[in-house]
Amino acid sequence: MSHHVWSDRTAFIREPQAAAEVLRVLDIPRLDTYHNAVAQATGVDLSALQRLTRNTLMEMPPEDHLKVRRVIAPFFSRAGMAGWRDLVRHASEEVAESLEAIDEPDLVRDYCVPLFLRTIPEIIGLDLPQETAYFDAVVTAQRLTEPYLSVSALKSLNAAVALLADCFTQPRDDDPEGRPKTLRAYLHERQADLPDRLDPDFFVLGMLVGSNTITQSLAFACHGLLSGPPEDWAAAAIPGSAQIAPQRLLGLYQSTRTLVRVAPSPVEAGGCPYSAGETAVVDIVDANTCLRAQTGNPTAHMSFGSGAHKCPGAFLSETILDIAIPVLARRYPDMILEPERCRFVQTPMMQAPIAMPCTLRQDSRRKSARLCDIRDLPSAGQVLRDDATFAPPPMESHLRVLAQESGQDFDTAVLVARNAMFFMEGPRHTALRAALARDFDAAMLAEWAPRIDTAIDQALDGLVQAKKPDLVAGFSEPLRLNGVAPVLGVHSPDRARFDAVAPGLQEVLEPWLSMRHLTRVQACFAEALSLMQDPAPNETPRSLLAALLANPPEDFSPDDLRAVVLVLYGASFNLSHTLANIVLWILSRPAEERQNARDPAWIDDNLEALIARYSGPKYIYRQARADRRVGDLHLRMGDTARLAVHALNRGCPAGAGHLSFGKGLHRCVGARLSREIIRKAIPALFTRFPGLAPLAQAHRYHAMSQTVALSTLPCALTS
Amino acid sequence: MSAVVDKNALIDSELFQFLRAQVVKRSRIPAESVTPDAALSDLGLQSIDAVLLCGEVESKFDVEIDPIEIFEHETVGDFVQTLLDRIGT
Repeated sequence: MSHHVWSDRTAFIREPQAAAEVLRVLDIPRLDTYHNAVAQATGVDLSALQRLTRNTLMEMPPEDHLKVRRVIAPFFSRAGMAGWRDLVRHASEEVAESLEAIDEPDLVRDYCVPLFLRTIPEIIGLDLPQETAYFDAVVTAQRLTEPYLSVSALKSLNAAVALLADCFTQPRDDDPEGRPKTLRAYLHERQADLPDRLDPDFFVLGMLVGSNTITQSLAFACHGLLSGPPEDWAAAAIPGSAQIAPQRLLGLYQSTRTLVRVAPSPVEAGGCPYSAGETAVVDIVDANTCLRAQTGNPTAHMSFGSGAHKCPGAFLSETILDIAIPVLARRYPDMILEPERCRFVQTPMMQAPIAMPCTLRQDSRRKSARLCDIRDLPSAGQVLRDDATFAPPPMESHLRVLAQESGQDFDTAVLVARNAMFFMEGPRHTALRAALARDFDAAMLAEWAPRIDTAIDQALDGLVQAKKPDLVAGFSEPLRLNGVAPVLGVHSPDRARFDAVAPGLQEVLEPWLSMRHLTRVQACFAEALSLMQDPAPNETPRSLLAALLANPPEDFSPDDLRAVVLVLYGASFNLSHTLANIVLWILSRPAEERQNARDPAWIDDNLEALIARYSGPKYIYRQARADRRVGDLHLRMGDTARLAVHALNRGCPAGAGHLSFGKGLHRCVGARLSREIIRKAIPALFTRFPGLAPLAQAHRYHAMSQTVALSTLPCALTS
Repeated sequence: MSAVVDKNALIDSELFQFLRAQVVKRSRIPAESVTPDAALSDLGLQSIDAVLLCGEVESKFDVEIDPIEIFEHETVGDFVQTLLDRIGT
């Protein structure tokens, strides 16, 4: 069996009954024959690995397999697991508390992994040192079931198993403080009922290695709950709430993606004939989706397989998730993830987070001598309401002094800063806002509606043609190019060159740019300005730039107005980022929930909540013009207040009053256009492609410090 | 003993001497007050000073510095050591 087994997704088995039958009738592919062949052919010592493989349920002959299953069934039953709940709760609370002392906590490294090390070995009966090296050995050994591993991979598996096998030697008091009997102690007690050739210690080691899927599913479930509405994480704090029913989470966030079986002899299963040696791939993710739809039961799943080889660890997984998630959610109700810094591992067989950096609490704090992070709404409200004290950085004056002191030419940067609305204040700002209220209003957008609809349809048509459909390159980006640029009046005879330069416009001018960085940003704006061509004065519908040039606000030259519109175009990248982030979240929901996105009424009801959670911009900056107390912080004149938008938005129920478009004098003038495009684009996308599905964990982010911006979001148009 | 030697080596470094001259030029701080132990936040540097000072160091020592880094270090010595390490690599 090799990697080509997964090459044809259309051949995967998704229908639950057929999947269950295939899992029951066909066999698990033999691993020992491959390991033995490699050992003989290369002379490499794989003895530890072979000994482990021989003692796994997968490799046992049927009669031994049945014997072992009967012996371990009581131990792994729900009743059998009940005795371990106190251990799991105590460990969860201890590990959750330990997060407080960690500077940049990560939920995988600092919660799920330590929790595994403190619970599973205890339950199983191994004295595993609480060290990362031992957990890494478990993760390495867990690759046991991957087909056709390389010789070097098999050697590292063998070393990992040998390291773990040393943990038997330490003497172990099998019943400290009245806890239930460990699996190891239980098996030694039931030795007579076990097959003679079974080596119980290596069987127990196999169970330890297999149990790592619990760590992965726990992390995956936390990622899912923390990526959704704040209400999901709030509900997670309530033990027993439906939101976090372990079986529902195990159905949605099971790390297993596919299970592979092989026909031992010519046989029929799931309505298909199989010749001897032929393989079948069961798609667990889709099978679970079908099962929920067929039964109407949101907790129905087959994540642990079916039939004789059904994973025995279902109730152990349930116990861990049932306790560990509420403990974490209760202790850190305001915890948030940074989606763009989360990392996943993914193979055709499994997927799981391997990094989940998080912020435990949303209290404002001083980050450096000059920068304060504002993460609580009262403090943010004070900063945003007090325009006199907290204003955007005075970029124009900053750049003029910089040019004078350094002798460098920053004329273009000054031109841009002078006409960037988020830096402006005073009469010019007031005049420009009035002009935009006149020329960039609902009526103007209504005239452009047909063009925006056409841009959406063209993008959807383009996706159909694409060999590898990508919802950034093929959807959110084209909507900015063909949906926003014309409305703003941004045209260029050298469109290719302009579009190549344009991403640089996202570099927000800020007082802390280094001289080199500032020079690069200025060059980008200068070239973009030089590539711009004014729209025809009598074009219809009339673009913003055409309207402004025809009726300029006071103290704005044509060059000023071109800079105004170019800065707005740079800011409109955030529309593409926000749209793509929203689509990614919808795609990460179960298939039955994705259907909601087809309904314009659903998007209307959820638009503000979606923008609040998934908007591109991460921060709003304000500079203190005087010393001022803000909550517990003392800001000095010249200090920068950095408002953490997504942290603050979690305090806005259903997105009401969110900060994604800013507030007050400097609220985003592109908000109406952004809402219009998102409101239309999402139902159109999911109506056109009802079977739209993500390629699991294939999305990637731009390395941008100021914005959550996807660089790629590959998808399957029909799943 | 090594801490004293390191400090003297730091003071004698061309970077420290250059940085001290730039700080003196942009703030009202006398040269003798600009020591490795001097707190950066006490030097009275505004954002513009930080950008200009870092710009000068960037040009002379061909190293890119985010001006905000100045204020992420406690003392002048810490900041200089970070730059020396960065230039070294």
